[in-house]
Amino acid sequence: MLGWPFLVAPGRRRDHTTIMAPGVLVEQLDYGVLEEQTSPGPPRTVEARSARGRRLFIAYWTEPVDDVRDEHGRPLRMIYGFVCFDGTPAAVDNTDRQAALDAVRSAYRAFLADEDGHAVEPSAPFTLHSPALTMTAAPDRSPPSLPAWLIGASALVILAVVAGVALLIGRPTSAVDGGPPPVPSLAPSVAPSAAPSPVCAAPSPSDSRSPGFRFRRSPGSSGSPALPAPNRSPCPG
Amino acid sequence: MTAVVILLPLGVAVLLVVVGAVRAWRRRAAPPTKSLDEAGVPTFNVVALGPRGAGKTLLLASMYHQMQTASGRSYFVTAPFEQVLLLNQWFTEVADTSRDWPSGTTVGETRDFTFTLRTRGSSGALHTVMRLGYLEYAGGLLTDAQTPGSTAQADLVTRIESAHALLGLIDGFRIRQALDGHAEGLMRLQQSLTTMISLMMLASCPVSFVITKWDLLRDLDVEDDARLKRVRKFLMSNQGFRDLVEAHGSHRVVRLIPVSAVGPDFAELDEQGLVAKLPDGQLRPSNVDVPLAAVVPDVFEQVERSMDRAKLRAALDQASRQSRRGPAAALTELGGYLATAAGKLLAPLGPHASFLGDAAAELFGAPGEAAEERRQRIERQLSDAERELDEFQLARRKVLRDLQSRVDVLEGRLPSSRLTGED
Repeated sequence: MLGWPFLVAPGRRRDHTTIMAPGVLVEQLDYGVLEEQTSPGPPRTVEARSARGRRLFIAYWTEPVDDVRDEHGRPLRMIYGFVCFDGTPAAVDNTDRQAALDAVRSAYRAFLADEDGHAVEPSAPFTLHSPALTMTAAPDRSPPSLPAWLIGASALVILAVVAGVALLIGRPTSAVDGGPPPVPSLAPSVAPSAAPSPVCAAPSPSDSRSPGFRFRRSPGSSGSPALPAPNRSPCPG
Repeated sequence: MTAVVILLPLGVAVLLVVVGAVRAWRRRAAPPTKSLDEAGVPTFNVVALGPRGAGKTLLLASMYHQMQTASGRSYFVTAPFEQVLLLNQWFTEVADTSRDWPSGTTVGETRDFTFTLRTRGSSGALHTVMRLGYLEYAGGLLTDAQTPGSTAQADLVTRIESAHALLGLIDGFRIRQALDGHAEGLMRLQQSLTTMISLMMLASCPVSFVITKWDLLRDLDVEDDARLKRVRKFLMSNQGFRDLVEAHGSHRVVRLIPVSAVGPDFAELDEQGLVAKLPDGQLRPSNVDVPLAAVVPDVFEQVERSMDRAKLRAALDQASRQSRRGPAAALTELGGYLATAAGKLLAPLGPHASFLGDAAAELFGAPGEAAEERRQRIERQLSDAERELDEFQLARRKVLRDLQSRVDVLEGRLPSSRLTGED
């Protein structure tokens, strides 16, 4: 899995701004999600969608900036990490955190040296050491139940239509010599085959999250993410 | 026979559809169950306009810290627990002289704070009077270009356009720098005023200006109002600011409220010209409750100005004569009239007609009526009406009087706090 470093941080005069972002997001002018979905605090991994609908996973950390204050005398903090587009890491390896930090340091120094002339620096991906989280299909949502009156009404309408069709078909004509045609049966003629028992995909130990990491669904994401569905269904219970 | 076989089930089906649809419609139309206390409680949304470092977060934390207990007022403020934790964390960070100032707010930390004004009735029961919403956001959204792919700035502008009141935060630190001849400070002050002007010029709600970090300007003059007058004169020398005050001054009250989230003995400018905490600093916030206390009185003052005097007087007189349905119903009727007649400012608060009626009875005054005269007139009217009002309404009216009183006290002590275009 690949990760793209990013950095959101303030300057002495400028407020928090995106200093480095994945190249693909910079090209598409679609990196605003990084500022909106990250906030100072403990390490986090969040799932988000960019303004153009691109699904991404952001693993980030907050670190104080030594020896630099803003123009109001307040300490500065930088929010840095990496972005994945293929999935979320099951646990974040510290090597990846360090790689992201190393990638953003020089960009931050350049920003502090010339805040007004700063342009977002596109980042190149690096191969993550963090294992990818095995994606399971989102739990099936049971369809919303229909009101009983609607079910009843629908059944009666179907019955009326079928009865009408049957009567029309069964009306005797002059060319036919014989008894009335058999009434079609509404019951299925073939016994249902036994449904294959679902393969239970019990979570593997590697699925457990790294201590200190929380997987947080971003408020803007709508419903369950459209994950590629493997041929398994969740374990019952 | 064929027709019967077809039509009978169809008829039953149609009947089932009609019955089911009517029942579903009735369920949707039924209003949600609310407690007696929650029903009829309006929310006034306030947005403080201020660039990075102007003091939005500290004002919020200090305001909550001061208003979370009654302290001689008839009301106090509560907030959801997770917000209280944050506010207390910020205030603790500020108050601790061995720690740095809190870091700036990020875009991702944008959040709504909801403050509930509560009061105790004569029986000791707790009543909810109203709510105040305060938006916390990164100041850079007002001054920096929007980040590609972000909607934060557009969302903020929408919130500003729908606010019930706007507070323009003017950084006292920048005023200090400008008065000291600091070019960067003057430039930053100009930038923040320009931003405010563009956002406030088209506003149709009450606007107030809040000078933050007022403690940094204490050496301008010994006397508080003289100090404010000097700062006011300096601000009004800015043509854009002056035009903004003139544009609004004819339709609504425009205030200039000096506040200090820390007080006079807590911080000072160090050798580098930055604001540093004093090692033995004592926290004594001043006027931090006034900006929010002024919201409701200023909304109603604007409504009062905008309405036809004769019609408003007639509506008030009818309410005070207590229509045969009783004073409470009369006030609700008055509130309904106001919600319709006051247009955009009060229309969203239409469902809270009872509150609007009470507020109008408390806050509207006769032309030329001084604050004390208004109080005496209301006391006379209340002596009869109050006997028939329930405890909740009495408690609510007391809170509204207190809010107005807070503003009156400020104006009495600092006459320069009321801006007009005639400076």
